[in-house]
Amino acid sequence: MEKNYYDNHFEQFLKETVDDFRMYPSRKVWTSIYNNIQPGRRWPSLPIMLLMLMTFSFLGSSNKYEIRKFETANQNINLERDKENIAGNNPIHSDSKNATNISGNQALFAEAALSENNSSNLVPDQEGQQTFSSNQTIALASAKGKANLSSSLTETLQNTNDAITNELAENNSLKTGEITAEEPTLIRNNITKQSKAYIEKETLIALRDGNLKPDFNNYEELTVPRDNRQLLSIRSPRVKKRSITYLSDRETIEDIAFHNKPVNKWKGRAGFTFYATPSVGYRQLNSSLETKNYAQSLSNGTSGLVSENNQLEHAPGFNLELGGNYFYRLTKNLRLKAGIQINYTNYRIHAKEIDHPTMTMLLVNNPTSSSQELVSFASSLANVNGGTHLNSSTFQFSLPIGADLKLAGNEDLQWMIGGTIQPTLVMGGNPYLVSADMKNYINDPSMLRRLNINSSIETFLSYRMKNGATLNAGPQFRYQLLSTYNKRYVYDEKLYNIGFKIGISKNL
Amino acid sequence: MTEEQMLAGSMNNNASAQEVFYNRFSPRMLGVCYRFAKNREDAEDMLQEGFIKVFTQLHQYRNEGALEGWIRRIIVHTCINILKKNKKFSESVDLIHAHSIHVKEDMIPSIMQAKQVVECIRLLPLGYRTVLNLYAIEGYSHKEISKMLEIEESTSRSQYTRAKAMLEEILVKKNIIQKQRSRISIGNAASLL
Repeated sequence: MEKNYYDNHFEQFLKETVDDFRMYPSRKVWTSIYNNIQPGRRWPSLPIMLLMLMTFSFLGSSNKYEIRKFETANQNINLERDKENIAGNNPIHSDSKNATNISGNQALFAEAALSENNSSNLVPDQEGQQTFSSNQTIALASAKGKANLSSSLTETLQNTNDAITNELAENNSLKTGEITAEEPTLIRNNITKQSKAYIEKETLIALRDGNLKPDFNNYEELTVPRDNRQLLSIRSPRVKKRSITYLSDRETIEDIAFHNKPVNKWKGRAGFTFYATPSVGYRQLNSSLETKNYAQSLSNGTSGLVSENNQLEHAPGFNLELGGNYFYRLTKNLRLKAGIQINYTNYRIHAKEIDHPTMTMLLVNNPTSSSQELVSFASSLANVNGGTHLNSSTFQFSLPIGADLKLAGNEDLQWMIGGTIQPTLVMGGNPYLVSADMKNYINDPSMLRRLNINSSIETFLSYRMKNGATLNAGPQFRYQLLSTYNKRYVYDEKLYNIGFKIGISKNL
Repeated sequence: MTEEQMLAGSMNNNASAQEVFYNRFSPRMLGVCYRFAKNREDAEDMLQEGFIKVFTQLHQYRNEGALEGWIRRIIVHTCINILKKNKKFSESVDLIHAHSIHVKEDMIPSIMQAKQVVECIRLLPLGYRTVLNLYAIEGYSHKEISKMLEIEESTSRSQYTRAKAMLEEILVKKNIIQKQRSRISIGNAASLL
């Protein structure tokens, strides 16, 4: 088409020419606009929240496991200590002939002994009577008021003890037995609120009435005259009915607990793994015949169709994956796994940085039709190996789901193969796109595909260490199933990398 | 989605309608911004600011005249406001005697396809380019331009005359237009769009 015009039509020429000029903005422009006009619905908040939720859930789950294990270990230790103390016949008897020294720890123990749910330090005497030890009563005074027990307080304390004992007896929960003063915290944990409140109330009354005289200079050790202890002896016929021993009672409870504990179907079958995979990454570039023809027509008479992978000088780059997953053993040889993973992909481009930007065109697909069109860009990167190394990289977050299969081995050493499919969210990146004539590179992150799918296949040796953890190591091949770029860009880029995966697993 | 639905949805702060609205007008508006801006990044910044104004002022649109024209006016004013914040722009647009600027051959990009004219416009000095864009393409009068850019009307006229001469020179050198005695013919204009 040829169009003539006169000088005074210059404006018309310009207007007609540039009026239909269009450029396609990058996605981030809309994101910024959207965030401004819809402040309540910022788009990144949802995936970031999801990511944080999953991360915290994962970490929380791991820590819970450790804490539970720690508590179980403590309980076992306490149980063993109880048994040792019982076996050592070291009770605190109420019929001791000598005055008894009570330490501050024993005071705590005394409080605990009043619990209705726990073993008390009531020791049956020869007549089968239930008697509070004087130590306990003195310790009670020591704990509450750090006070020295005077003889005038005897009646008050006796009433207190009597009331508590009756209350415990009514609940039919007293057990004979003995508890050593070395275990105050264990017992204290079981003290009831009602007993504490009762003790506090009575102590306050005693202090108010002048029956209890605090002695803050001498609360570490309290000496009790034997006469007072004798006065504290009480009878409780109802308690006499329960005559099981502490040891057998405990064993019974443990036995019931052991045989009725909830079945954990995950135990032994489930576990988690943390891993890292350094790798070497590269890409494969493809395009349609139409694109190849177009590139060839612009490449100054090169014979034959242009091959993208030959025309562009690229080199492998360092890649890294970090992640964790849970696994569940379906059968002896097969286990399923799912987790989270972050990926850094990268390959290098050999280019040359030119002094001034030049205009170049990017061949893109028209979103509204099936045709292709050119979009102009400024570029200062030429497709010539001129000493500049560009890193075409992406940052990804993925959710690998897959399975591992045991090929051979015993309990300690196993050879396994595995594979995953990884739905992937591309968080960002720095891609370099080749221009339509393949002479320049353009940096445009808006061309990145946001959602992608990766796959991986791996084989590894799994070695169980002495501490129960399992060390995994072996090669991995990862392949990106969809193009790095969105549908706008005419070239189809598939990333792949070969790496060495190292991980550590632990059974739940 | 029809234009009425899109417009109504956008006015009601409907996110999907706003996105349709944006997708429909943003390519052409970015083209407008690109003619004013230094580079693509600046053009996208202008577009972003412009569209935020468009969406926040959409309720003021009275259905009088084309919607695109209304949007375009907001975008152009946004571009001018952004340019005016740049000190260099004020100096450039006030510089009447800019005829010493010569266009060298290597300044012209060696691209082969469409949009050459836009790229040639972008080779003009900032002041020239702005006045030329506003007068020749956007259709503002010199009086309006003088108010927008806060310059004398005569300055706008002289800037435009020189911009036009320089652009002609570039277009001829690029072989987009050819001077033939008293008239100019477009060379490979068919490949422009």
